[in-house]
Amino acid sequence: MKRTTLSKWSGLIVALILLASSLLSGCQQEKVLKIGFITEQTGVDAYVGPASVPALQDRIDEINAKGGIGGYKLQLIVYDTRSEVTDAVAVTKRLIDQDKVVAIIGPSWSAAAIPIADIVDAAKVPAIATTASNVNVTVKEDGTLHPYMFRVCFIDPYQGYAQADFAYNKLGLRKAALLTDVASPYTVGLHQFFENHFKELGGEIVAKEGYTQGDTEFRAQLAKIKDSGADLLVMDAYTYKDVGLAAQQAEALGLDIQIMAGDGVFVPELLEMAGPQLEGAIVTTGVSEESPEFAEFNAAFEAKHGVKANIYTYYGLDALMAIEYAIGEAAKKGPVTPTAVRDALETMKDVQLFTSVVTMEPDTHNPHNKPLLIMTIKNGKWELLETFQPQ
Amino acid sequence: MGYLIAIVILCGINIVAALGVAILTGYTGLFTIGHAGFMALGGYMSAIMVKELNVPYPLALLIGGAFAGICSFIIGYPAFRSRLRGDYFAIATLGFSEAIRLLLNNTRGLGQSLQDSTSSFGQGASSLLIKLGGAFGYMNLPNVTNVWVVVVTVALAMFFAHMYVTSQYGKNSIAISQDEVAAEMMGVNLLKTKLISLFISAFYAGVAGGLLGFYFAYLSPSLFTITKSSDLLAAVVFGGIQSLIGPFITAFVLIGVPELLRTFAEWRLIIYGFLFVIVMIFRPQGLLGYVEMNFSFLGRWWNAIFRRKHTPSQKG
Amino acid sequence: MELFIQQLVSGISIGAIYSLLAVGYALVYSVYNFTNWAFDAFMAFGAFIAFTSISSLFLPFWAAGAISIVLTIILAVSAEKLAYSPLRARKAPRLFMMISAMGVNLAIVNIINLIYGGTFRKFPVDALQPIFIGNVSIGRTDLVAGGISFVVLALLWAFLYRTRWGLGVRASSIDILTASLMGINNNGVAIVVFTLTGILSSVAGIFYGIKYAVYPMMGMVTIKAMIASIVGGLGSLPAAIVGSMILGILETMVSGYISSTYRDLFSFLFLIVILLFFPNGLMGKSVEEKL
Repeated sequence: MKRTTLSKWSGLIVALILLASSLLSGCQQEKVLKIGFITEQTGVDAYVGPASVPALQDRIDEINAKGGIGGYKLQLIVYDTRSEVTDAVAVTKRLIDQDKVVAIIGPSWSAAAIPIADIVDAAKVPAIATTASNVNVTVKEDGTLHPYMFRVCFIDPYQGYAQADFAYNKLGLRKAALLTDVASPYTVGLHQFFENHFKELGGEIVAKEGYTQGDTEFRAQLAKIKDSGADLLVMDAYTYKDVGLAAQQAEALGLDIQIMAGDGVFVPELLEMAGPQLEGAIVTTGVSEESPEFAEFNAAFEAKHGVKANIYTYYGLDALMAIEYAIGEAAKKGPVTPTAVRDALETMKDVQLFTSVVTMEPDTHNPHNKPLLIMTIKNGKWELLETFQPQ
Repeated sequence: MGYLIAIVILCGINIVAALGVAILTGYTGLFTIGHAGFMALGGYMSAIMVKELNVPYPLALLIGGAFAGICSFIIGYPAFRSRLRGDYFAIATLGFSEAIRLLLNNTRGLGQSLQDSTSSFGQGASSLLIKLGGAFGYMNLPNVTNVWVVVVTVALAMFFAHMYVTSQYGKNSIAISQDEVAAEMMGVNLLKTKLISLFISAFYAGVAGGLLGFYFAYLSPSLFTITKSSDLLAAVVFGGIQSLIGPFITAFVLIGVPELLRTFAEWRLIIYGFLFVIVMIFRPQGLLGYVEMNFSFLGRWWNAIFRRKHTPSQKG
Repeated sequence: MELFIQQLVSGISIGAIYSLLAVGYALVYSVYNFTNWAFDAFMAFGAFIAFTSISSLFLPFWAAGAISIVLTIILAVSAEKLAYSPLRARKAPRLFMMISAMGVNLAIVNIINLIYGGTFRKFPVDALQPIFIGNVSIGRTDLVAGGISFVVLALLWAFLYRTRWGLGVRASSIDILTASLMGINNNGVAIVVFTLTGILSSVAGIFYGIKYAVYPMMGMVTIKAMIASIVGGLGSLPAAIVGSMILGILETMVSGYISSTYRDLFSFLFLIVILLFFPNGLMGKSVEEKL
């Protein structure tokens, strides 16, 4: 009893001292931590940013309304990348040098995340890539870790492995055709891992076709795939348009084939574009906006901002919540510096983020055993087939 | 401070490439929308020189530039030999840069397909191609481009560009841009002049590509998109066709100002577009006018102020 | 054999789309000797107007198409009046025309992007089922699109060769100065040419939207149409169609029998070869600079 009163009093005294000191220092009324967010508001991937920025800002406002974290208020600083690597790098430097952010969220694609990893290492500011799934984002080619780069999504080898496993063991398919966007490291990487594991299991890759970002015409490739006798079309495109168009054109060619795609295309727009043609297609993803636990969030989000939430929204929130957690942990130990945030991120264990409970692997900076959802399209809607848990 | 230096470096790199476009589009009248392709060629070549062959960095930049210059003949020769219209050439540059990007995106796949080759050359080519990384990018380059390197390069680039445009070749180029047939009648060798101009232009872009790679410590085909080409063109158009100092200033303004005012991102290209039209209609000499890098205006002022009597009146 | 025929059919269908675009370029080029770089922006504009008319105003397809054509004509003619004709009046170098057209393109495409965002939208009409002959599929959309393209191109031809206005346009395309001395109203010809451009780009945009998707960057495909028009020979309408068909078939054959990954590399190499051996294109008129 007595102890509580004592601690209450001491708390009050501390608060008074803080108040006095803040009044004395004048301009510095409250401690603010800046969090940078690098996203695509313009350019080819302009559908990523508008669905994420309001969500993150809402969350920050909510936290600040509750008094902040560990005595700090948060401020979100958003910069557009124009979907260009050069711009993504430039804004990262800006966030670090000019805005002095404590942590960075983004970018969403590997080609930008790889050069950014070097920059954040040098500047000692942690960054959490949202959907950049290439292995080399957090671990260099020679196997050493980028100490300041993290991510909240699973990595390409894991998804490629899971796809091959599901196709071979659950669907019983043996002849796969790959249709690869050769300009996308995401697609090239995933297909490499799919091919490795699918062959390991005893499957056969009967056709390997390519196209380039921005293409809309796939009939030549699809006709060849039809000719090859494949029973599975793997198309882990980065942009949903590719899968939507390929599905439409496959149908027009009379190619009846199981289509499989990765989390890059798991957005509601895909269904609007080619729902009927994609009936029965398999899409693997780390998180689904169809999950009932997000229904309330989705409805509120769309009503408030007029934009549909998508997986980029969720991964953005995941990254923000990981940073919130790390700031909270760091604040317990001392002043919140970028390095302290990094240390807390690295040792993150069983923390509830927006999409799932996450433990960070200290030696790879990837989320440990993040479950993978295997979805299908049924009656024009996403449906969960099963959850893939790695061994 | 670091951020400002980053902007200076990016501006400087863009100035070098924009000077290349100025020489070709501004001075020779050849419209290019594919200079990003030359940047990619130069960037990859100089990166290979430094990383795989341990060539000193400044020399590697020059080799990269020269390589881009030589490759430019692939489109330059067929296009100029038959005196194609500017439009043909512009489309050819665009096709060329897209083809370069396609090849670079596939180096990994090409390398893997060569892996089984028995000759030592095949083996070497295969391992180099795999190192280039295709769409994954060429990683872990030395991070040697700093602000001093960029400042010195920009100064040298300005100096040599000035030398070129005031040389006989430069004057020939200007003659071609004004009236090709008249230039030929005056004895200008069209093919040779255009090819030299294209070589220098691609050389500049190649050096800029090298600087960029050693600044990011990473090269990937996605750095060299059409957006990059149109940014360079914008710098030249706004700065003033047939001006070197103009693109110099506008490259700073176009890279620096949007960098500082990132909030206008969505409006930036719209404003670019309208400005293209407005500049062409009302101020084809560029937003800055025919400001040129010479100091003759001092002499004119001197005349105007002190020797007014002797200056012949404009109206005669 | 079946594969070959299927690729040929796809190639012709792709070629048909290219030719609708290539004719749009050729038309302006034949009269004004400059490439209308804004054509792809007109195309995206036409497609978005039709898209909005159907999905937001719930108009029937024909009404949406009509609105799209009218508004795209207005856009094309205003671009001509505001961005091109002042330059022509001043006899500015062709380089200025190209830059001005690039500016129109950048502005329109990015305004569309600002309003609609970068998402890919399905054009709100029901897809038509393809016809199968043996195992070879022929898209009914392709047939309808091809048919309408044919009608549009035939009307264009009839207009150019069977009407007084068309005569004026053709006279201007041979020598614009002499034509105006002979009493042809240059201003009128400009309006006619850009009205036709507006119609072509709107039709092309709607078809492209139906066949693929509606998105701000949809005009990117016009690069291929430009290559096709060079292959055929810039400035001639039949050449544009021939070039487009050749390129479309070449692309599908390369994809089908050599490598789909390097398809665009072959298209580009093909362009270089054509430039080397047929500098005027396969059937173009002389492209040397005019005096």
